[in-house]
Amino acid sequence: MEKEFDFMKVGKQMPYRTPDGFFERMQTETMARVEAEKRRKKLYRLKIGFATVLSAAAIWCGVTFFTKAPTDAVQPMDASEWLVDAEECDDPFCVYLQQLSDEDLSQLADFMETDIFMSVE
Amino acid sequence: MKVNEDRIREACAANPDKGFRMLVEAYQQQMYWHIRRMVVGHEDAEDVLQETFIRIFKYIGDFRSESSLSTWIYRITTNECIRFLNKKKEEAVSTEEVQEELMGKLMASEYVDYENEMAVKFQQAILRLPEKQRLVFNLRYYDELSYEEISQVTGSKVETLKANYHFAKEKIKEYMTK
Repeated sequence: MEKEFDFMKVGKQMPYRTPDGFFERMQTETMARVEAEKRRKKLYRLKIGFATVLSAAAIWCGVTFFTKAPTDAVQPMDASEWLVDAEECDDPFCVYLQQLSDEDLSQLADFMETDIFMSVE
Repeated sequence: MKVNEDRIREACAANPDKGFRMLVEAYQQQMYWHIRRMVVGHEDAEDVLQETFIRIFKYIGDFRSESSLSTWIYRITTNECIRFLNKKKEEAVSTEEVQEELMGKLMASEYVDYENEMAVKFQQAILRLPEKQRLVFNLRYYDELSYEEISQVTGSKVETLKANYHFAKEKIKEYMTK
């Protein structure tokens, strides 16, 4: 009958080896890597903080612009002011405009909007 | 080396840098040998050990005394080994190919003592085991962890672990008497 293998013969011995001074070097390298990791984390937190502040500033600017801009841009025009100005105006063009009928004014406005030389935009 | 877990835990709470340094000093050797037995190559073991320490440093603040510090460290170390081996499996065609690669590392390494023939053959026998049996065998045989501790490390039932260890021993015996 074949003899059974005895684990005691080999015990805990292993054939594996390490380079000389490996564990001392490993400890130093590990601590250095941990320090680097700490710096990286700190930098990451700083970046996140900066990005948050930047985003908040962008949102604030956007909100300010879009809430104020329409009220400034679409101020209801007081037509009477214009009419008063036009009536008091001595300029030949004003006089000419005063003489035009509503239909003529409408046509003139259409023409000014479509003509590439007259268009103000 | 007898590790004073309480001292390390207290140091980690009071001064994390000092506590972590103590932890590295106390556990690095047993962690390295556990990793080495799993990944075989010295360079791979070194990389896995570094990654494990970084992970421990990240999560040391989350450590609760539900298990011992040593068991917690073994769990993280084992998970890193498994992560490494799974990555190898993804790159390889089959699990057998990974096993062959590990065997190749055992048989052609600058950091293996080939004069100790019995120890080399013993490692060959261990490397032929399925991964889980190999892990259980190493933790029980070399690290002398109890089945309860191995259960906390691997998340397996004690009965399953006992069966795994038994089968592993039988396979090793068979290989060693060939």
